[in-house]
Amino acid sequence: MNIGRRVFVAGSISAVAAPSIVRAQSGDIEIGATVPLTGPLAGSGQQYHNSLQMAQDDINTAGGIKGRKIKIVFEDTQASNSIAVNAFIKLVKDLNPPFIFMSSFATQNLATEPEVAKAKIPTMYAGGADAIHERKNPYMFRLRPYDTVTTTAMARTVINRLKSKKPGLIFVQDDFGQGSANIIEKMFKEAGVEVVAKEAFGARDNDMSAQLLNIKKAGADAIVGFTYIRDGGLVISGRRSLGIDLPMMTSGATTLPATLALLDPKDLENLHSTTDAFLDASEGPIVADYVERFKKRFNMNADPYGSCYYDGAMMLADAMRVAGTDREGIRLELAKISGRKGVTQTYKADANGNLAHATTVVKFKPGTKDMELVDKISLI
Amino acid sequence: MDQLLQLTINGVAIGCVYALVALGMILVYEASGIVNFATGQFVMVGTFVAISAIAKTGLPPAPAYVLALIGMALFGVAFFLLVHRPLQRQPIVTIIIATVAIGIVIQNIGMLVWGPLPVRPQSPFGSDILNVFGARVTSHVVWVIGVTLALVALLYVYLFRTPVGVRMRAVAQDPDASRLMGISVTRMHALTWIIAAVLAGIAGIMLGPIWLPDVNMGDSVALKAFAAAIIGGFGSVPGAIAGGLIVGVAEVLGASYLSSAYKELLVFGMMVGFLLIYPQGLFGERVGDRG
Repeated sequence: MNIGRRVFVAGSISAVAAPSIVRAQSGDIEIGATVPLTGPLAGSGQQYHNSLQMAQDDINTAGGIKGRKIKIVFEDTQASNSIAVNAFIKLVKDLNPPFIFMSSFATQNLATEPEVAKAKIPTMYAGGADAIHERKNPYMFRLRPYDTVTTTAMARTVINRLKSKKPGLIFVQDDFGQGSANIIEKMFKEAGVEVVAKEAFGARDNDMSAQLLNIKKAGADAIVGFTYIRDGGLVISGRRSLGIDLPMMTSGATTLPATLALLDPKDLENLHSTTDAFLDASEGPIVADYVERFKKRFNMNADPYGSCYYDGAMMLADAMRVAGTDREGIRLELAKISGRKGVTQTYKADANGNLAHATTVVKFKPGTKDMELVDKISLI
Repeated sequence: MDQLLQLTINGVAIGCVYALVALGMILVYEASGIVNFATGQFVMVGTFVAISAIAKTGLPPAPAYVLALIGMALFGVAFFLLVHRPLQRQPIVTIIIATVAIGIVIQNIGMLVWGPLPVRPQSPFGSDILNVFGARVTSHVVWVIGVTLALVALLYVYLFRTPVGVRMRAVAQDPDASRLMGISVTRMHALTWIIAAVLAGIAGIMLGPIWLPDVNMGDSVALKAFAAAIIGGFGSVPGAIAGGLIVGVAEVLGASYLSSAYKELLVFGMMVGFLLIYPQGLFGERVGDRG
């Protein structure tokens, strides 16, 4: 039998490609996820990773997607933008997945955004910076409230509840911190409130006493903080150890279990914070079930930074039950989301791909780390 | 004025920790010629072993921390056997690369064992707020300064007033002559690593409540301790202390009176300045004088 070169090459390609085609059509559906699993950002990455694992198992137990199981493949973004971009590219090249979950950090997502546009793969992410949705990328859906939502809640609380006329700002020097500080400064200005100090610090700084004392020296009557986990712990505990008795309003990371573990109840006196959701059993059976199962399985308390990814996976599963693994179909289904109730909040897609538009303000019961609800604020 | 005092006390406390780490670094360098770029990870191990000692034994902080320091002494022995001995006859570049790589390995093992989240270790000295001439500082910070002074005094007595200390210094000056005099150079090297590890452990215990550390804390500490050692004079014990205090105070005051964005520039700018203009540092010997 005489086999020509072209036939031989075509046959070889078919033999190599066939198993992967079969796997893609009838095996598990592989979904990508870029997560900060190691390095300084791994604290919130761990919640994100665990939430997606729980979602994967819940979806598969409920019958999967049209009879096929899903499998979430994780790539570590560490604390680096370039590694986050490479993690995304690796998932696209290795898996060619119908969907990818992206990092929970705005700077990493901003860096990866051009690759998402190039790959045309629908994604969900959790960083809050408005700069991301300003890129108008139709393939990116945001699971957490964007910074305008959070800062609106913070500004209203500072003005109406803390009765501040001269707030001082302290923020981490990155897209989230700097961006939020600029937004809230503008809001204060429009409300006739003067910001008397703006103090920045690096995400890996170990001492913020200079910045806190500068705010006090400037005559501030309240402190407004935009921080992550460890730096938030340093700022809030520093306020007490330096004897600065000013009321404080902080962004959502303060309410995360990882941050609260760093604080003494005395540090939390006279402090309000936003939080994406009040994850308490009193909020209803869906939340109660989630927090209980999460705690049992991972031996840690659930937080809203992770639970939003659980909600995202559930919304993705619904979209895939309609559109299968067709990327454009999934994107269109996600863009239609409206009034979808999840563990963290009720989701609605807007023209910018934002799914979450509400946030919660809490304060701490005196002498404890227990939160009590102060206000719920929604921009839609 | 109160603010200046408050910042200065905090800066001195951080500087004391840098000084202890720098001391460990230069003791090892003087005794063995090895610049240990894994020093920061020693401090990290000290912090987290101390936390584990409390969590696993249920002991109060003080005895648990003593247990942790015994653990650090064993860590020093292990490092001597597994790193120092195989490296001692290698070229300097090999040693530098090896200690950097070992630091990364220790950090990643730390991540596996203790996880990525930051922690708030209990201070062995309490967390009361004290009023020092109008400046509010924590009791921990005041104790850090006191403990460092006591340790430096102890180290001085050990090195200059005890037979073992004299033998250690002899080995540092001339290992071959020391060997001919019947001193066990190997034993002295092992002892140096133990002291360096214990100093790092104490630094880790004292730094923990101030920094809220995670397993990535090592590099920040090591870089500042390295800058302290260079400013003070690499190889000089008083230099390490002076360098540590200069770095700690400059860092805190620079953030307040210049800009927090430039505080690192200030510290490392000073280090580069010393290397260019006065490379022997404040208390170091000139290379020519060593002969």
